Amino acid sequence: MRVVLDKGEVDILIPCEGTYPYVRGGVSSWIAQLITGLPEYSFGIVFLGSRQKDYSAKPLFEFPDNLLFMVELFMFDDDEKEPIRARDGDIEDFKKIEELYHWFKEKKEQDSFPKELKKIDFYRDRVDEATFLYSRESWYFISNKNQENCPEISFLDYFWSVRSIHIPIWKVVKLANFVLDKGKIIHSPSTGYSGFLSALIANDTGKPFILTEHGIYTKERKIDLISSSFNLYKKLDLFRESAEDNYIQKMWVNFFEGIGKMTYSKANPILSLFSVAKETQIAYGAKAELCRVIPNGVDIKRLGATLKNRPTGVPKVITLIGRVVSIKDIKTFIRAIRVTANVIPDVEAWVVGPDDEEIAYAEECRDLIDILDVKDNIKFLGFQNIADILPKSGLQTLTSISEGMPLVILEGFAAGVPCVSTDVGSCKELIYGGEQEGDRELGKAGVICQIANVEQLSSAYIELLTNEDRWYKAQKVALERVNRFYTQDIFIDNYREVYKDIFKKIGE
Amino acid sequence: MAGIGFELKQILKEKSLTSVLKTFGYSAILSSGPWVISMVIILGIGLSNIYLFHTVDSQNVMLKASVTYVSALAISSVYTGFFQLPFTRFIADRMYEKRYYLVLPNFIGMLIVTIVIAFLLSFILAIFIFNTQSNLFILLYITLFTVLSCVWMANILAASLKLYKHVIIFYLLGYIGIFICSIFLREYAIVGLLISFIIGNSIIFILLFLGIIYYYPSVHKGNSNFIRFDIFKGNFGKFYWKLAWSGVLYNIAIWIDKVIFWFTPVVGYVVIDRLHASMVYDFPIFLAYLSIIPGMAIFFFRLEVDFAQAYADFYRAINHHGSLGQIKQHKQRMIDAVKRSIQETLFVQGLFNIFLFLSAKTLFELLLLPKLYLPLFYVDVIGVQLQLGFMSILAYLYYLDRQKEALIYTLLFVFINAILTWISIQMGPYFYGYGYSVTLLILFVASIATLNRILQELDYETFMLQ
Repeated sequence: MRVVLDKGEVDILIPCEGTYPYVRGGVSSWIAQLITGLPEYSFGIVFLGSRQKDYSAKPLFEFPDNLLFMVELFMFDDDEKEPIRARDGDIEDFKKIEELYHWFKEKKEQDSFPKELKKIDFYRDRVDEATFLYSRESWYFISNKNQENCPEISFLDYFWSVRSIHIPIWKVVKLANFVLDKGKIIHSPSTGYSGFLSALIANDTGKPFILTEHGIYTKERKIDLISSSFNLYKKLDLFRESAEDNYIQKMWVNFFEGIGKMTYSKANPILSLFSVAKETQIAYGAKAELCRVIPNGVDIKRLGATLKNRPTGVPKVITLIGRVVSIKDIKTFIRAIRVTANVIPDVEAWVVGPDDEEIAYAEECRDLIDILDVKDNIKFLGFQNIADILPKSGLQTLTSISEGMPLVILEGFAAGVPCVSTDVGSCKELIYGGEQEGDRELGKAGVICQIANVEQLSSAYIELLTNEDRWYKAQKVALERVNRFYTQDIFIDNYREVYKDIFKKIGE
Repeated sequence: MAGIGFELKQILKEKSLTSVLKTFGYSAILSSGPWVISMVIILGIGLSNIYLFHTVDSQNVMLKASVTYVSALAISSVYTGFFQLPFTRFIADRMYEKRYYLVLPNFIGMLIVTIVIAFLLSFILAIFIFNTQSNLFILLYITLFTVLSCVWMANILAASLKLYKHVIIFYLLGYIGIFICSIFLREYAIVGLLISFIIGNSIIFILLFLGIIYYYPSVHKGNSNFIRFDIFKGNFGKFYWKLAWSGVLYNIAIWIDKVIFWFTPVVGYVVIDRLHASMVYDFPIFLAYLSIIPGMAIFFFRLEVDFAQAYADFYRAINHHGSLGQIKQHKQRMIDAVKRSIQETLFVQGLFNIFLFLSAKTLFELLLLPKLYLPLFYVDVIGVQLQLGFMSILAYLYYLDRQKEALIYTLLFVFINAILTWISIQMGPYFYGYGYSVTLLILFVASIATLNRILQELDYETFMLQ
């Protein structure tokens, strides 16, 4: 644990799990936007990371003047490890943990959650980290649980999963204990560990706790787990009983669902970026009356200024802004361009984003371009300034199989570029209009297609690029929608209101 | 999707593969085997001389030569005790990594260090101890000491490379050489005997060395040096200080009761210059060491066959994703193997002891030993049996890499043996030998308890304390 910055008292404390200021991406930019946009409040950052070596060595963002405090903790770093020493441990405390397991495994109702276990001092004084890691009682406990629940699975995998699930709890508690008196309200940008940290602090101090969820954390972890990337040992299919090796996966899912529920039960308000996300939160246990949507906003001035650089007419250029990775389904995009090029031979397709994250996938994409003979149409441009790219584009597209609320669509709108996207995350709300008053009435700023549907995508490209009337209508809708609902000023004002309300309630 | 989430997969993957203890095996106590052989054979030479040549003069020469030889044996084994265990452990680690080609160059490097220090040490010792002897005598002593030091190092390496059969044959050849030379060089009295010892031990050393070269050649693309000092440079991890000191202490401990007897006025007397011996104490105990051979053979067989297999299975069950049930089953097999090895060792040893007890009188008559020594011999036989038990437990401790416990036990061995031996001398002739035997009784019982605790908690410690 290291205090990076300490220049005084802060109003709002933001726990960041693997994001700001060491990682680029949607959540990090959102945090930066929020802090810079609200100079009347002072902010503190609590950074939770896995291991120092997983992150950039220096902050990737310049700290604004109203960021007064920052502490960081890397949970799996060796210097965070308690000194190894054998000890006995107390069986009573492990009975308490057993109750907790029941809660995680079964209904996860609020009132059945053991009261002692909500308090920080249980983890600090009763079953501390060293007791859990090194005590004999803990060993009996872990091996008994294994015998009870899944005696057939690889014990090595089981053991390390149990450890990896538990270790962060004590790290979070340690951190919570350290920042207990920092900030007047807590604002967590996700559930997961930072949500758990916020819930602990809120429970111990009664401080207000705001949750803004970008993706749905629990769901994302589930996808992680199920995509079999955990490298757990598996027996040959023939020798495996069906439920056998899912137990470890189930443990993880239960854990993340559990801390998700703990977070939802303490947070008020529970915010999301778009209405589909809100529905999902409610499905995962958030109270509907506490849930609200506050969408992200973009800097319309900067991007609006690029409108004057646009050539007359519709450029025959389709731009996909995103990394070349499987989740963005670039291959479907390439196939759709093949079909489009049959009708518009001089169509150009630009892929703007780094291609070094999934090198094998990028290679496959290049092979596909060769096979389909669209070498002259498709260009991989790497990282580019969107203010240069957007004015030259006729259409923006996303073919992803999963998205949250993609800011690039809004940025494209602000620069006057309609969008063709698959029906994921908030894309439909952005292109066809959302629940806000008058939004849907504005019309369509592009086309929504099914995931991986080449035919729909290509006909949308052809339609918009060849039918200028349709294109200009879509551009008009795009500009109007972003200016009315998705500007940075609206976004900032929304949060200013949220903070003002809460500070009023706690009498400041 | 937002960039949240930890590198859990990566961490989990690394943990599963590397953090479990490395398996290694090395037979540490094996050095005692040849040591016992030497003891027995030197006794044989002494006795046969007594048989063949019934003159007081020749007996006197023989005794002087034997005591000189024993002093060189004892001091060189204490000195090389410092290198023996760290070196075998170093070799075992390299073998585990399958870098066999590092064995020979490092052995040569180790020999160079051993020889240089042995020379300096024995030079000082010889001048200090033998203040009335000829320069030739001193030169021979230095040579003998240095050759013996080399034999210990070659022997421990050959044993840990599992060249057991060769080791035994080479020792026999060496001691046959000593015996033959001693007959031919009889007219040169003590100098002739010293030369015989040097020749015999040189034979052993050369044969062992050739064996090592033959089985572990150094030609490999990973090695371009003929001589390497990896163990001292710490190229592959730190020097094992605890092993080094426990090796020294163990060797001090097995000699300290004898030394105390030698230098206690009533029971010890001067043999040659500053070297002493103890008429009462020495013969019975060296004779009793004879009884250790069958038990030791059984023990090493069990260690190699049963325990090593169970130990390997235990770690394989962990590393190859066995269930907890399988892991515990292999742990139980390990415990059973330990139990069986100690039971059988002590049982065989016990049977042999009964035979010795029954035939002791006849044996003593045959060897022309005074019956006065009989009670002491009985006590020593029991002590030797217990020492075998203690040695076995120590071997397990080394095998399980419990260096700290091994160091503590060897340290205790030195102190308890010294104190109880001194007390036994104070208590009078009837108690001679009890110091040594009671020491080993205490250590054997205590170390069994320690080993039991370690084995019971092996799974706990393997998983939790890492």
